[in-house]
Amino acid sequence: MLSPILLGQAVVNGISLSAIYILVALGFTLLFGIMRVVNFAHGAFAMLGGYALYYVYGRWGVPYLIAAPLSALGVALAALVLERLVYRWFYQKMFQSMIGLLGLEMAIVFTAVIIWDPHERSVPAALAGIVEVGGIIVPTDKLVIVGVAAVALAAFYLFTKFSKYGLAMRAAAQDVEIAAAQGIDTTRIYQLAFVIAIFMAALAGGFYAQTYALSPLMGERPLMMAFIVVILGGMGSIPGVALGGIILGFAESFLGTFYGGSVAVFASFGAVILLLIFRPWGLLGTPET
Amino acid sequence: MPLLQVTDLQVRYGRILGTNGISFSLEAGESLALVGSNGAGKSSTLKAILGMAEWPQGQILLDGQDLRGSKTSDIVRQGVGFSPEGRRVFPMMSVADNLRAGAFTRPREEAAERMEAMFAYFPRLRERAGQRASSLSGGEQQMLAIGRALMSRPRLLLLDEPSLGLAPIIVERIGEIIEEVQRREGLTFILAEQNANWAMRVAKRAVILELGRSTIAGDCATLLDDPRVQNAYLGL
Repeated sequence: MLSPILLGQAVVNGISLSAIYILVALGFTLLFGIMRVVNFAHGAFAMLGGYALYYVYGRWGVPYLIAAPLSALGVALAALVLERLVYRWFYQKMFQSMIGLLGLEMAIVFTAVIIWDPHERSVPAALAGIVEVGGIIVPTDKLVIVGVAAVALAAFYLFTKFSKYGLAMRAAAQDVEIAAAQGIDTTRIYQLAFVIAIFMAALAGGFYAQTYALSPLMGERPLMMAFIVVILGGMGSIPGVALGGIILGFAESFLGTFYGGSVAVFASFGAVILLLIFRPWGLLGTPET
Repeated sequence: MPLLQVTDLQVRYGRILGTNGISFSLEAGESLALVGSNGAGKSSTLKAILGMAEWPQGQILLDGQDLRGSKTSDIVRQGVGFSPEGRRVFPMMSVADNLRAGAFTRPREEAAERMEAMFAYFPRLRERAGQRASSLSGGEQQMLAIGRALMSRPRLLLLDEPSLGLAPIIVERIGEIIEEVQRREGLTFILAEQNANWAMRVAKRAVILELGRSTIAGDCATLLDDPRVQNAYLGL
């Protein structure tokens, strides 16, 4: 059963799943790390990203490499209205944010049910066809997803590490009052972080809808995955997201390939429970003081 | 026109009064020590100037312009620098990035030039430029906090308890550096301190705060000889 081809296949699947999980969890951990909100509505934005891609790419036929970032950006900018109306009231209020944003999730999801009905649709693949490398079959579609995700993650890394606004975002994450005392307009920085986080969620949601199916209720699973990744890696830790996403993506792919999908889910949640018992701050997080 | 004028300032934290009637003014190029015991209202006064605390009564004028309702980031853009109590460097960022954050309001080239100037004032920071700020000693973190505040070339620097928890020799060194920056850059500063003796040697003028009010004010040289001040604050 350990044929190299099967192993290779599992690795390829693992990479593509990891890319999606990292994207969706990165936005989740940003909102927590910087604004201290637990975004239970994260899945809803992933779902909206799926619908945006369905229209922009599936219906209007905009070329995929433009359509994917464009639809995610559209969702993120539209979400700024919710930032002003809802999120802003919950910044730095972790527990209140959980309840408030759970409510927001329901509001968005059931508005989507009213608009689009609850049935599943499909978003066409970015590229039909497969590539075969040494016997390993890779759908080109997956390559495109991994490529776009990698570009988004690299851009985010360069932005936070080297740009002035990235520096301001890191400063605000560590001490928002003192960041303001450096002349940083923290309201704007929060909006910026919010747009980036929702962009990532919506982008991941588009990929997710393509890989599985599109429906108003599809956001639940990406939200759960973001949660697991972030708990694995440590709430608010960006390297933790990368590590957690890779662990979860590969675990799901390997366990799913060799033992079936339900074992994979069982193992993922089991790992999280064990971690919460023995190392509740996550693999790369820091314990609360 | 004074650079800063504070009149009858009352700071409130909910129902608790932080200060209740503080007045003083400061001309450009001057230095002022705000001296008083714990809870006298030193930090509250600085926070009010920066828009970080509510002040329902009184007036704060910067260049004659009322600061009421201004956001912290806008006040800082007008040329106010802040070295907070307890230093509060960004712990997970490198020393260099902490300094860069201090120059957020300035163009990139100026930030690089200012960083060189800070390394000249605080040579230890150059040695540790790549290290995380949390790995610095208390004295080094204090120097970083002051350096960060100086990065924007502020017209008015607010220093909140820079001597707190530091060895006397390091406190003296920090005083020398503040004086050096003042000599070279014509810095105007307010030094809020419990360590009255030291603060009144670093600054030219002093205002003494008691229970949220400003009581005695004058030149430090005179106040250091004033028996009321000697009894209460200098332990003589």
